[in-house]
Amino acid sequence: MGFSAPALSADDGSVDIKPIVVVEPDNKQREAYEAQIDTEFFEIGGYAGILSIEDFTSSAVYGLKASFHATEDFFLQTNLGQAEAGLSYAEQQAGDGVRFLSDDDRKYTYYNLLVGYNIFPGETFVTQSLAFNSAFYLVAGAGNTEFAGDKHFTLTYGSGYRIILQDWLTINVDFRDHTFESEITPKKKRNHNLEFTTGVTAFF
Amino acid sequence: MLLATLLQAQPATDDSWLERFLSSYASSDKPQHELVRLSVIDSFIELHSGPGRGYPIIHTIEQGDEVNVYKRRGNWYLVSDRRLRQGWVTQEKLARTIAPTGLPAALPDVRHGDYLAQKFRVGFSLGKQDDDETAQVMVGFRLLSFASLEIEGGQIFADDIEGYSYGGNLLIEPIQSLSFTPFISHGYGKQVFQQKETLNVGRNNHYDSDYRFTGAGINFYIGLNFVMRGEYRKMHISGDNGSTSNSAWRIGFSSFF
Repeated sequence: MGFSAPALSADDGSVDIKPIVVVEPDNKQREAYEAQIDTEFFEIGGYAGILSIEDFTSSAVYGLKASFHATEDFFLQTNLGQAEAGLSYAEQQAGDGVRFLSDDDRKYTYYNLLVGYNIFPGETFVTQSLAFNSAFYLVAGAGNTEFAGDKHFTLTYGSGYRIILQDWLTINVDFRDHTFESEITPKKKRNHNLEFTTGVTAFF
Repeated sequence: MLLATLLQAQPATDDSWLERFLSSYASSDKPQHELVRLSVIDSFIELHSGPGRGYPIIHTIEQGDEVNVYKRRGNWYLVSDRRLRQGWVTQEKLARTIAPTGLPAALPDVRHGDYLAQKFRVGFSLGKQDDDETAQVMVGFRLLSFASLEIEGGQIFADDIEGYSYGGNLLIEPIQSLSFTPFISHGYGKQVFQQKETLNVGRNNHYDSDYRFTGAGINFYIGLNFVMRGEYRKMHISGDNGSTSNSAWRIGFSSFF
């Protein structure tokens, strides 16, 4: 009949379905990086950055991370990291080589178990013709921090940004707060240790 | 269109729809002998370049065109049209297709109980045992549709002592058709405590104890692969320095594969 409506009823009750022509977008530049992470759930990698240890100095932190991507939105992650604290504020004030902690006790090591949520997935456009799949995510969970000769139950929460460079390779930036109750000073107080890291991980 | 009420379609072979989808998911690297073919009845369906809403749309498939379904990841399906242009489409959009017989396609429902091919589960839980915080890693295996076995190990955080625990649990989950499902659990294990080094006055005090517990909780299934759990346990601990009972609760996150 010449209309482009999807269905027409003739008088005898039969329905005529006409195909709709859909104009295809020019997708040449996107074919090049069709994602293939269909069978890949595990992600393993490393990270490095700065950890600001409350009452101490800011120190370099290194670690390993592993993630399991459960759904498009949720993932489970575990991190294992370590840093070496410098002088505490009290030691700096005392001066003259006064030390309240042994060198062993200055080692700050932690692990945590986190749930992550990919809140803003999408793409990032580096140049006119170069785009990568990316996601901004939130993480929260808990774990253990061993520092100053003690083991502390630590809550961790933060956010991060992941860019998928290849099917199997991602780069990510994370900002986290590791918080625990400290008994180092006579009064119990809650410490916040802020960590800012960059990491590289592989999907497989 | 409700997925749950769609009629069973006639597949191209004698295998049921469910078996075909499950086998394609479990062995995603092997080519399919008989591909599932469906016809699009919506005006068009959009294909993304990857299994997520953040991936761009790269193709569209028109009404009346046939699609082949290759594999599933979460609730996204990898399909291609007759010109073999591939892309990912959500289960919701793919449901708007019909089988060659003209009946609507019956795709696996979103109920977690159906995915028996996903037998393993890995996750962690955080909680409290009396006043002490706990953190545990867990690996589970689904024995039957309503029963699973888990082994777990982790840490117990207390003021004066530090502890580790490990054990095995059995979970019974009778109802599977809802997103929130209750379960009961029972388990045995060991807890090892040690006095903290900072308080050490010479002797290294070390306590070993056995525990058993009975618990109950609720599983909340998000997506097809992800479950959040809230559990309460009544624990009975017996060891070197007598026996005691206490309560523990935890919140857990785990994923199937």
